Amino acid sequence: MTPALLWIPLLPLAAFALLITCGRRLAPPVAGWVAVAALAASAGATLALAEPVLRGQRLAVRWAWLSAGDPRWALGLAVDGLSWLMLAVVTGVGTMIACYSIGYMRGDPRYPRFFAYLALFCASMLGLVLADHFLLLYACWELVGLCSYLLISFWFEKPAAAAAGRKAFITTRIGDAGLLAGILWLAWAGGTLQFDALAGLRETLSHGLLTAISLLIFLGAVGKSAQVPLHVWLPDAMEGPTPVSALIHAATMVAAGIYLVARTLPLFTPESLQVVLAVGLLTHLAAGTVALTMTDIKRVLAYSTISQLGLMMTALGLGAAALAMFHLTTHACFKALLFLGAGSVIHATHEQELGRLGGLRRAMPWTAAVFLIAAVSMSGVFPLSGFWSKDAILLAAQHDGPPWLLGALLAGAVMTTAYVFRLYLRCFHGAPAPHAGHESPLIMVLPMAVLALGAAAVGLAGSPWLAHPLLHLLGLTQIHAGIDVPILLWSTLAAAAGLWLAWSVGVRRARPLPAALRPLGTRLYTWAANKYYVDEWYQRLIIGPYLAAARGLSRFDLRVIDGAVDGAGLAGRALAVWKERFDRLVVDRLVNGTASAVRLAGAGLRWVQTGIVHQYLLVVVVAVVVVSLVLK
Amino acid sequence: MTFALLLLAAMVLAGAVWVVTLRNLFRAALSLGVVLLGVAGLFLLLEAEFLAFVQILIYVGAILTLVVFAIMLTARLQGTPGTAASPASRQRVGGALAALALFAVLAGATQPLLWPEAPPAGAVPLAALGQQLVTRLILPFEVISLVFVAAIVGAIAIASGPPGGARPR
Amino acid sequence: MSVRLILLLSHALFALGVYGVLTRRHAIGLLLSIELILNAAALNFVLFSRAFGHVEAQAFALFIIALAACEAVVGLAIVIGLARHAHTVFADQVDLLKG
Repeated sequence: MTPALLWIPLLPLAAFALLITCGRRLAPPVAGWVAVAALAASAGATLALAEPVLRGQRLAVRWAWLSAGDPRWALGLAVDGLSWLMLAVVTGVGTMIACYSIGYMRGDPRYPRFFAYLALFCASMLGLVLADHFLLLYACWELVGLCSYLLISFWFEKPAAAAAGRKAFITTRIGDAGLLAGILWLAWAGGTLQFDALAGLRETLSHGLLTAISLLIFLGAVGKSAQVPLHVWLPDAMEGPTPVSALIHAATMVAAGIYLVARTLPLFTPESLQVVLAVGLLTHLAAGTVALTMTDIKRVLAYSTISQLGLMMTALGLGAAALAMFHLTTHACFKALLFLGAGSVIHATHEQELGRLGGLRRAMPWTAAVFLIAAVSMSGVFPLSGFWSKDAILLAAQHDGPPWLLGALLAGAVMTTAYVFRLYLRCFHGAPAPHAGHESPLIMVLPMAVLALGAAAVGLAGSPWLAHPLLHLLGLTQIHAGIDVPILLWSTLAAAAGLWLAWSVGVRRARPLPAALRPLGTRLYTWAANKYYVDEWYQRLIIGPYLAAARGLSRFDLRVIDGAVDGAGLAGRALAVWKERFDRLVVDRLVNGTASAVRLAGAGLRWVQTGIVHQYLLVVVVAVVVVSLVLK
Repeated sequence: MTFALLLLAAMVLAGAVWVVTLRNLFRAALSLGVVLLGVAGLFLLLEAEFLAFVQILIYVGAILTLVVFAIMLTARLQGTPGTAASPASRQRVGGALAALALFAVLAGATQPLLWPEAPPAGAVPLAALGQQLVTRLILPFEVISLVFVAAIVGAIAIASGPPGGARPR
Repeated sequence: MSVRLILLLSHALFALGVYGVLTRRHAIGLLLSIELILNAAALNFVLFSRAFGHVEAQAFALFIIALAACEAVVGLAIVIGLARHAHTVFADQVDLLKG
């Protein structure tokens, strides 16, 4: 079984090596198929591991890395239920997206390069998931960041894409710094970085220390998973090719943060869980309102991802890692599908502004159908995938959270339905837009169809109908048996309300608010449409002062340091005049004298160098004899 | 056994003396063949059968043939027949004295030492040799193959000369 | 089997090779003498392998034979190059090293 474990990250890595070295020599579709084949093989290897993992076995390989004295620094890969689920998501969704990219990226001048990055992205994500140790996880974590940078700014000729890649990299670095600090602190205080030893640390480390370390680790997750206040990179990341957005939002990049918190949940104290809950809920609601106001297809989806990640963080804040991972899985399916559908629309119409789209249902029936499935699933309508995972979280909120939490999450659910259906209705219904559009090729439709199947049915694995195999896999023991009917009713009501909002306000532009409240509503709308001015605040509070400080330092450099340097130069010139005289009168004569002496000696020794090899050899032999005699 | 040893020793010594003294280079090369065969016989006596065969195969079969070819070829380049005598050296006396001194030093160093008598069944099995070559000695083994490639490339580069360059006179 | 006797033989072979290197004027003659020296070394290795039961010694005798082949190839190539460019095959007529 362990070889399969090794193959899972190594196959995409091998595909990356192949494509980056000789991708240019492969014909364009071949390069794509190499990546697809590698990812599909990884998915196969993951499936091969399913049987022992489902039996609750933990598979691991480990080899000594720094064996100098301390056996703690071993590197290893391990699979348990949690990481197996992530493996399945990454390889499954990754394969579909790579397949789709074969069609989407056709004709791109850097076609093989794209698939090389894609393969590396998946490989590093798989390594991250398989790591049984913080160090390997951190290395892969940074690799994931690097790949996101490379892929977001894949079309680096566009200044916006280059800037977005930079922004993603720098923003996540802030979180990464926190994660690194947390890891180092943990190594120093706890003495181990092995994941299976984390639970034991609860007893040995003090409460305050655990809180600090867990919050630092959480900071890393905030950056990667685009939580408030480090969420600003994700909407800009839409500048990358759409399959990349799908990959980042569904399987690889943002999932890493959720996975990290779920993996290290034993370290989180009640206080840090409160922080996680607050950040998650704030992100969920704030991003949901922004998503309602965005007019760019991909930006709506970006904020919806942030919002859904907030929901997962909320679940983690409740201590329900299994539910967060469950929602991550279903979310990966429908969000990847939404992005691929959006990519299909953009591919066909070269338009991503909602105002200039509409009525695409006739031209693109397949895309419209899968988009609808994804939207319904995301809204949490019974019995599609989204329903099971979202309702599980609502249930947990009702049981374990404060009383207002359920209400807040239901409000979030209303917004979720509202923005996703606003998107669907304005894209595919209504008056046909000037861009006629056409259905995408089979190579793009097929992966979408597979993902639609997932978006509809994956949730069943966590449903009471099949006795919750997924939640058992994740180690959840106390499971609410059966369907909780009040929650079901509430969430259906929320979905209906959202649908009504999307129809009346989003499409027919009705004004739901009474006249007295309208100015307030307009202001709220303006705030949300401007993303609560977060970028502007960052510009003013952080980047502006930073640049001002840089300018001040530059001025200091020009005036003071340059002055000092110029003064030193003048002094040096005066000194040089004297030194020149000394050079000419003393040093030159010394040098010339040496040369003359060597020339004289050379003339004397010249006759020894006859140039005849035999004589040299004779000298060598005689010398050997003499030396042996002397040494004896 | 001792008789065979003495016979082979005489063969090797005589051959070696011819190699270094015969004025005719072609005959000297053939005498080298005698030496090589004698050494191969000694290898057999020392129960290193594989090495004996390699010695005959590579030294006598390949290297010596190559040398004879080279003698013929350079003779043609020189415009003299291959069997012509080569001129005498100017430092024969000095060389002889130095070589004798070297021999004396070596013999003086090794003869007084206590040598174990070779055990009757101490021959190294060929399988062990092969195993060593592909396990512990794999690095030198591979390096040798690298040297082979380098030697072949270098030989071709040196002997072929510049394109269209100096032709033999 | 007399180890001393064979040792003496290999010394003699070595000394004769050295004598050849010192006196042979023809470049190919030099090569022949070098082969004598290498054979002396190989003989020593095989002798010690037999006397002490070392596998490595035999392996190195094998390496010597291999290296001798390389050396012969390169040496002969040099001789041919010499004949072509310097129009001589006598080592003492090449005195590029002359000071």
